[in-house]
Amino acid sequence: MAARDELLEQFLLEGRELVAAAGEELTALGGGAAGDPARLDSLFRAVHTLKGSAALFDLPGLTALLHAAESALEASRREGRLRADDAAAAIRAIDLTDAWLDALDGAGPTPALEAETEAAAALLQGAARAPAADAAQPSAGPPDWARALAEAAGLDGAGVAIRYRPARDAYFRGDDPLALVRSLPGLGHLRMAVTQPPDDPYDPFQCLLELQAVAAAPLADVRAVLRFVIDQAELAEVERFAAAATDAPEAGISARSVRVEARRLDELAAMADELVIAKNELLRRSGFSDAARGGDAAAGPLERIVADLHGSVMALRLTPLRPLFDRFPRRVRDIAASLGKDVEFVMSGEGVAVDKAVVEGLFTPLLHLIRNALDHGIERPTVRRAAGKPERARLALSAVSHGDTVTVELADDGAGIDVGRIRQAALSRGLISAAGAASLPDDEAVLLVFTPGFSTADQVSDLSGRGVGMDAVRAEVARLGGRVSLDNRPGQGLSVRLTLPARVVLTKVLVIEAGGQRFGAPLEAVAEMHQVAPAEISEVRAGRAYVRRDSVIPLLGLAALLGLNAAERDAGPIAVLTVDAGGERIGIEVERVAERMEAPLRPMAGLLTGFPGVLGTILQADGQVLLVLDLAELAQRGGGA
Amino acid sequence: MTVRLEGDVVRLEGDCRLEEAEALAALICDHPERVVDLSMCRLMHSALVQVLLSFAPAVRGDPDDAFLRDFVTPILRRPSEGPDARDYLERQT
Repeated sequence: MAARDELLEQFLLEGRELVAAAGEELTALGGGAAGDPARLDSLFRAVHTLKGSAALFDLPGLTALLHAAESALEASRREGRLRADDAAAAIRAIDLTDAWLDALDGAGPTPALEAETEAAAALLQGAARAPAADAAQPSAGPPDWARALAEAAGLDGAGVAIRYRPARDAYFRGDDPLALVRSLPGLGHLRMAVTQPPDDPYDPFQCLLELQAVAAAPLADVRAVLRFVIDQAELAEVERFAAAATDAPEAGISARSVRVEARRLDELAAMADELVIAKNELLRRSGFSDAARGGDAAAGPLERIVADLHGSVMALRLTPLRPLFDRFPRRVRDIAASLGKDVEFVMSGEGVAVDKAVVEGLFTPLLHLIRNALDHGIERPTVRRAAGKPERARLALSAVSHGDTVTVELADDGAGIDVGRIRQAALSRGLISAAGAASLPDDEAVLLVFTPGFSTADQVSDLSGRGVGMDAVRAEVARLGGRVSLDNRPGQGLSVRLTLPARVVLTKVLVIEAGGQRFGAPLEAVAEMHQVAPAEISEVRAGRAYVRRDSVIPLLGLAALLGLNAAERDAGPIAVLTVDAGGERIGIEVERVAERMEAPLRPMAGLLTGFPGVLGTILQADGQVLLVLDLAELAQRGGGA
Repeated sequence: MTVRLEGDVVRLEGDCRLEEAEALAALICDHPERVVDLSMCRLMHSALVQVLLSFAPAVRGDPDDAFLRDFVTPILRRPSEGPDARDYLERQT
């Protein structure tokens, strides 16, 4: 079972890549490069490989469809250019394959999908037969069946395709056709079928087999083996160069790259994180981190190596946006078609690389935005014409890298957001007052769509504007450490811009409580955690202190440092975190140490930027924001005051 | 006993020659529920392959013989269209 699951995982992964590759070639071939043989070959190979995988997973419908698409492409290859019909066939097959991959990844294929696939396959097979009938022109080179066979065999180089239909009395004559085929030199591929359904009663001694084979051997050698049945066999010399010419650059790259499981990368990244923390602790204990004593010179190389290693490991997690983006064209086509809208979907910046967590996390919010744009933003062709716009709408998905951040933008030329209706909706939902609604500038009113609870499923249907689940989009993007902004041009379109960190740096945080509230503290900043009994604490002038390993540690209350009222506490031991602040170890009393977490730390923005003692924020799963404290700074300020 | 019925399983064992085709056909033509086990099969005459292709019973077991295992059984498992032996081989490695 486990082996099958692994194979399926592999298929889903490779399948997506192949679908993406095929999509790319189709786009290029459709965009004026219809006669590019390298692209045709690459497209053909992708479809062929997908077919092989589908057969392996016992998906007869999908296999038949891909087989039909493969045959169509084979015809195009013979002609040396992608014919429009074959392109349509390939697009259909690739789209459905993509849908199958989604289904296999999720709840499994639905009967509707299976029916759709079968229908598409039947249509393609029918179409393929029609031109095949008049394709009897005397062509140079091997016949179609031989080429197809060589293709199926993955022949690389020269060989012989064999179609062998033994005489009905072959068994009586003492022939064993299969044994004969078996002895072919360089046998690389075998197909067998019976030429008719079994009679009743069945005569086991009448030969009804047809065998097809490819042998990578000289014609003469094949002839020698089949010399006694040569009247029953068709032989054709075929030549096919699987990957040599067209693939050279690709092959070069793939030979040098290694596929690694994502989980292993995550482990590696986690270890690199821990190494940084261990290094910090080691340096602290050894005194090497004490610049005053000249220790930093000795620690320099270690610091640098650890930092480089950490950086390299994080860079391993960078992946291009392409696989994410490539999942959208089919969906746009499907959704647009179901809504009766005509949309041109363009993408750019697929090569921009971001952390894989971002690539993985962006699919849902982007799909959401795309649905919104198609459903609510882009108008029907008739409406567009009336508004003086081209009937065909344009939806553009783009990515631009700005060093540490990446902007992903979805822009449409639809109706934009109707700010008046947003105001009205917000008012009717009690999110703003009538006076507030009137005084709110348009560009701020638009932002109301991000308010949690602004829209729920049953409220959206009457809303022509957007706002459909925008708060969910915002939350998901925020979870990735990003933010969403809007550029609304009523009547002309809407751009939704997602600004995301190119690399998500996960910070290990200890969640602590003070004054009844939860805060975060970077684990790295905490030297020790311990429990101190009230009896161990002595009052020293205005402050408190306790003794730990022969040194006196001043004790400060976190609640007081934050200007909060400390919660009541019982007579039990208190929880203390120690931090190193200004060359001194200081104990900080907290009410509770809750848990550890690892999350992207977002730097403070806007008004809070200058807020002392706060490093940044972490958005929690429940949507709450956790303030991450700079304990050392707080302690220093508190101690000094 | 190269073609042997054991419960609902038809076992092909050793060298299965032309003479066995009739016995095999008799065992499976009216019993679609029977499974044919090839794991002990060393050699199969075309006529037996033809029986299996004609009645398309469920086939199981990987024979030791590389030709039977890599070229023939994949076709018997999917009588309508045998998967590409090359893909099959790639998956194995």
